[in-house]
Amino acid sequence: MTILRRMRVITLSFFNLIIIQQAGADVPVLLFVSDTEQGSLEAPLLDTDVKISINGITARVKVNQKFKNTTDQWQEATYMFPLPENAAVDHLKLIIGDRIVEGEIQEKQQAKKTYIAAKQAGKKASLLEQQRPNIFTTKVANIAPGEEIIVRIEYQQEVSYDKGIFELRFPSVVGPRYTPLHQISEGLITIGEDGFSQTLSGEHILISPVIPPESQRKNVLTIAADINAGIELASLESRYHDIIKQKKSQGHWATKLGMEDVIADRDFVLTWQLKLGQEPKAAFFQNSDGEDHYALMMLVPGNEVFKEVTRLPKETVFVIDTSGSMGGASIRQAKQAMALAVKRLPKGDYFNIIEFDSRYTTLYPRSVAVTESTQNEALTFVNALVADGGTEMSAALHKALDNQRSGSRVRQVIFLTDGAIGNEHDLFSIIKDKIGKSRLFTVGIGSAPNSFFMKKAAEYGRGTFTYIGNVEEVSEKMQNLFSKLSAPVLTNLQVDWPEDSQVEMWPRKIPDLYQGEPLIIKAKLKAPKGAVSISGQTRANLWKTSLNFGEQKNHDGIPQLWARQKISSLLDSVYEGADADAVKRDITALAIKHHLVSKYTSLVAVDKTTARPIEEELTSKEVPQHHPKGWLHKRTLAYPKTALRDDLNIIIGLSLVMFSGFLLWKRRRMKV
Amino acid sequence: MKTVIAIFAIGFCLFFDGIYLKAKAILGQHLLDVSWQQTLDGGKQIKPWPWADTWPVAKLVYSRLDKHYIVLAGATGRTLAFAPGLLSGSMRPGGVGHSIISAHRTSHFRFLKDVKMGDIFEITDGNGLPYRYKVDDIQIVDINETDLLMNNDYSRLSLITCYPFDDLRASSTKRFIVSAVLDLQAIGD
Repeated sequence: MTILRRMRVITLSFFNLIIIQQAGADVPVLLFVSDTEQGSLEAPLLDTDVKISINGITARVKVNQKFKNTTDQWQEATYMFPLPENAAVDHLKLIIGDRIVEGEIQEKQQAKKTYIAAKQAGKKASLLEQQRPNIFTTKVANIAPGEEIIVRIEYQQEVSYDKGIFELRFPSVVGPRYTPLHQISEGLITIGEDGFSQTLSGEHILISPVIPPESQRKNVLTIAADINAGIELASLESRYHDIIKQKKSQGHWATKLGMEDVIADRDFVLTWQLKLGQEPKAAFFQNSDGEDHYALMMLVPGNEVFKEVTRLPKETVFVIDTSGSMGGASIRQAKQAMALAVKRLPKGDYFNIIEFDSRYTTLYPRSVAVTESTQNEALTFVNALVADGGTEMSAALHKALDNQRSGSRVRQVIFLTDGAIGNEHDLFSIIKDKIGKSRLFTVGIGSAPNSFFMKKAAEYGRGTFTYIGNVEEVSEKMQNLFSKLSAPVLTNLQVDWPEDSQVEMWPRKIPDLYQGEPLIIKAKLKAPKGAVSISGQTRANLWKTSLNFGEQKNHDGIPQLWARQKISSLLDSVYEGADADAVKRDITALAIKHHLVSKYTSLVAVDKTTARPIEEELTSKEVPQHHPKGWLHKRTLAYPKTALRDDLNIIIGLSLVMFSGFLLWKRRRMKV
Repeated sequence: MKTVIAIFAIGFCLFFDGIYLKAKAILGQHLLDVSWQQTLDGGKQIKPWPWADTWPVAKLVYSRLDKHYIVLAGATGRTLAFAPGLLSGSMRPGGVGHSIISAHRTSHFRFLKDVKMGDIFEITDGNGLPYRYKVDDIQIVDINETDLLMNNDYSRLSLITCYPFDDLRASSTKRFIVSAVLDLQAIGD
């Protein structure tokens, strides 16, 4: 009898298992990665130390990634991390104790080979690769048991300036991006027109393990920034972190994070303003390497340029991303922003709202006039939005850009998203093909938006990009955007360089300017003389200014910033029909000349001495990263589930059937 | 007596469930023949049955063991019950990038354990164009090691199933991966 009872317990527990399995049978059940701790060995620990040094409108940033092997085996670490999309990464150093190994720039495949050879030979080595313009990976080979190795990355970037506020952003976490692969993980199968969400370039999967919320692991971040503005500051703030500020001299401040043990789960954003009345109208930086002359200029047309102009009627199409990655704080921000936008619509304008996740829904089949009742319907529609599902952005984009009415009406498409997608380039070509007379304005939502996508999308859409990182900023930033959108534009901008200076200028086509926005131009010239003049047309009159090449002062990093911009434009040219191989060659040559990491070049540092005895094994681990703050924790997916319980069920099933037969036979015998 | 009947019933259900999953895997391939033929004749997204959320995208042949499978779009549980699935988001076979096909270790991809380095996989895409891939890597990875999936610089085909093959559990933390590069010499043939 005891056997029988035990058997019953076993069958019952099997029954539970079956139920669980059956419940999952029709929902695609997939295995999730993320939990690196589940492996036998822990991935190396990582601390990030950032030193930012701002000089005028450019910044030099040194990032120290300290990898610590806490196990008793030799390890290789891989870490995926974001950098600002305009960062020109030009240095890699491997710091082992008090020795420093300088990295050198190599063609990407070559660099990979160099690294693998060193790794196999047991030498310490590091490889820095670009995965996306704003996502990089470092690899460090042969970290000894218990050892700490520092990988130092250095880059140059320009700070952004808008309406009197300077801003510098250091991203610290890669938002788990939505590639079509994730659709599977969420059980939502939306497949592109041709069968599977294809990307033009074959770029598809970018996955970094995520630290589970219950884990003790911490990627600690320390940041110190030194700001030398030259002019006294009116304010200096960090948007999402507490900081300590210290004045060093006139216009020179030092800051650092106010707390210890800050984890890398959100972007660090530093903003500052100059004392009133001292906003630069123009900033001009130059650098000459003897052969070539590089210039970077920033112009801010003053408010006086824009006087009263009659307002033209507008059509505004809002596109709002309600996919799963927008869950949590992001969707709340987006809804709040939308509600604000709808309430502000002037009567007599036209509007529509499109929401999308795996598929899109529109509020109206086509744009309607703004009235009290349509506004109320819109608010109800917005209020009911829920974030779930995949991100099929292309259909929604098509819908937003199709059926453009002709006529003089200004058409503005406002796109609210976290840009958590992996097939950027396909979307860029849709925008390029279909933009017509519309203008696309992207609004980045959440703690880790894909700002590369949104900036570029706005560039192709001849609009602008606004970033909202915090619920408290929604109202302020949206107000700014709307007043900008209603403000008259400065069009037909032209830059006239001195003659015979063989200019290579970026951007090639200067976009329309909105109120208070700066214009940044980077150029390479040959022995320029005299001045450069810039002119544009407001609706009422002509606007003009000029800058002298006369007063020279060599400013570091300008050639790298120019080269970075040129690389990015070269990459774009492929989508405009340029020969991909030629572009690849040009980029490789340019990047090697300027020592830059790019899509086709990587930095690699190899130590001379052999560290790991060849007979000892090397294990490879990916360093997991924190989930962006405010994101609902959803584990990132890797491999599909390819195990079934069928064999087990057959075996258990058959043995149970036989066992019942045996019981029956025994019972009969007992009766006999 | 009740206990005996209960044990018999549970046993029968389990057995039947297992057989049902096996039958789906075998029958599925036959059901797909028609829609694959229509795809080759120029059809797009031919659903094998009206309520399907997938369609044939390629045919995979491993002639050494006489294995041939019609591959469906997507690698969801529903798809994999009938056929190997091409991961959505991965490159279509023949394209420059990484084509990833996965299937269950207990059915379609059980034969992967017998694949050897240098073996040839032939794959025909939806337009009827054939490609040959030569196996250059066979490895077992932890599900955390996703590096390999990022390998998309060349035309590469990876076939993925759970590991170990004879493990009876319905989940696994290891994957068996057979990876092959496009055999460029074969393209001219």
